[in-house]
Amino acid sequence: MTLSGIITMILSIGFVWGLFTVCVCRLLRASGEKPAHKKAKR
Amino acid sequence: MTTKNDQPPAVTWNSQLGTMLAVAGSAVGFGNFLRFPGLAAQYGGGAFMIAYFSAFLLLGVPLCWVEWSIGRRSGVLGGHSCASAFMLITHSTVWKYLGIAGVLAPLGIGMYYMYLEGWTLGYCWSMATGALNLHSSEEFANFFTRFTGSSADGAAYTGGSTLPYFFAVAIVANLYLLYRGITRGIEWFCKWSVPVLLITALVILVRVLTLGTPDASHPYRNVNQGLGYMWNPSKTVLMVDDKTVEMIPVDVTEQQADQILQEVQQSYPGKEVVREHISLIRGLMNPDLWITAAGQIFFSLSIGFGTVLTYASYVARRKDIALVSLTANAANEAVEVGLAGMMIVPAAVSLLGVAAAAGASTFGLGFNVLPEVFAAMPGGRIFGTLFFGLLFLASVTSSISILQPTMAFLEEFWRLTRTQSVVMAGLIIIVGAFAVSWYTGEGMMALSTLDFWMGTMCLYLISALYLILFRAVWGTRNGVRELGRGSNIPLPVGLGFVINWITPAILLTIFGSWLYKNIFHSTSEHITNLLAGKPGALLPMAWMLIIYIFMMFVVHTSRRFHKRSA
Repeated sequence: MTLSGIITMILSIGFVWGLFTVCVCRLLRASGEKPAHKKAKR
Repeated sequence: MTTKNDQPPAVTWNSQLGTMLAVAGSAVGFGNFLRFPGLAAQYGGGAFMIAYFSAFLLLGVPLCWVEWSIGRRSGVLGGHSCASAFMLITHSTVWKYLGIAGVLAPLGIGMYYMYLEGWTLGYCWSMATGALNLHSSEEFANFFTRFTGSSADGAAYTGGSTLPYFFAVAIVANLYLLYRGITRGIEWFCKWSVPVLLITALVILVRVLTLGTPDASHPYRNVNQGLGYMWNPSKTVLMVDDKTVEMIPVDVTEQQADQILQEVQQSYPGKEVVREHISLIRGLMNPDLWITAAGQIFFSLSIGFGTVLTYASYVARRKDIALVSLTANAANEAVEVGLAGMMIVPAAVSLLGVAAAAGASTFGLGFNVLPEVFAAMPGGRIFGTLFFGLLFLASVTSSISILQPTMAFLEEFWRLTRTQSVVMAGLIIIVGAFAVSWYTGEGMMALSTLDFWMGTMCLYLISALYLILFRAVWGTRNGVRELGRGSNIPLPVGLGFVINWITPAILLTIFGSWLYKNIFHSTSEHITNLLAGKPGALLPMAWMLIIYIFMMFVVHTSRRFHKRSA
């Protein structure tokens, strides 16, 4: 695997998982559903 | 002014997370795990990914937003299928009949989708019971032919295959989940199946990435080479008859490269092995690459299936749709690029070599090459069972959503109860799916005919209708305002411009290329088969025509939306 191949792979996977993570976090925040450990603290 | 029509629809999703999981579940399916890895490998990772992400951002995301906006507006007005949505937004009877296409296409796709679910379930069972513990490529190919009955028409039923049983289980599972409805069926199923699917894919991914060099006698067949074949923007390959049979590893000397060429030459006596360097620029100059990448985005995000429109119609008026749509798209891309892209091709290359991975067709990769990969892998039986179980889950989440527009159509136009519409949709599906599973000769003719006309051409047509409605009839400004209502994210600046100009231009280019390639340049076999009156092509299409006429009759006799239109 070449360096440019590694960069392509990291950028592609980083983009899709990054987008997914940001979207899910915003969705959870907007719907007021907090992660389980935060609920337990409350 | 608040009118009666502005009330939220009676049936709505329980939560936004549930909505997102259901939409993501509907989009994640065969396209992610079988189609994408094969295409990315075929066109070379780097170049393909640039075209792919361009299509995702300029075609996929805007078209999904358009479909969500139309769907939510339609739900607020009381319509849940493409036919009623078009009617309620345009106030035109003609659009009502055009909208039937958005119900017919997913129904046609559902017919062969359930047949393929029977395959995945059968393969999962065969993996678990050890029936797929075979030793050579010929044995795997024979198993596939015998199991699917692809040797001749009707062979799946007369040749002693167990496929009909699995096929029946798939149909019953789908109809049962449909019967349970939106919240108790689809939302409930997706809430546990999508996370299970992701965990299973992660387990298999870890196993694939730790394969190393499985066979010491083939030192160049390793995970690194597989990842390189998938992701390297430029690569040097060896080709025989314009087909890639090997990739020269980047860390070898010129002498070693020549030695690999000679070894490959020995495997192909009498044929010329050509060494070719494929650069990133050369890859990007290939128009086929752009068309294929855009087509993959279409297929993968279920654009034009009518499913998203129906799902969106169950979202209450002031709830967010922009973020839910984007999240579902992102989930689909994460599974496709982040999991399937890292899993399938590296496994096939490291265990069977580049020729097997590159030469396999979409379904060939899934059902011929992968079982061989699992057989050669330590613990392969467990991982094979998990993989085909995963594919079955992914495909069921897709097919129940594919049938949802038909259910909504029957319920709203003929006011059928859920049980009645499940029975009617079930009968339509069973007849069509039986034709697909019977006419399996001549390269699965019934399946490929429905895939071409319903799963490709019809989707472009429906998407074009969405854009015309959104832009010319409803007005882009109104549509974007609907999208922004209750949105949890700021909409991108220039979205209206993209929807007005960029997306239609790309859509027209793709559709024009399809027409040029398949009709004007060389007459497609899907057209010649129909003209020749081959039953494998003619009967499924005749059945689709009968359903279309039936749906027109349903719309015509229904009094449901007449008053509103007047």
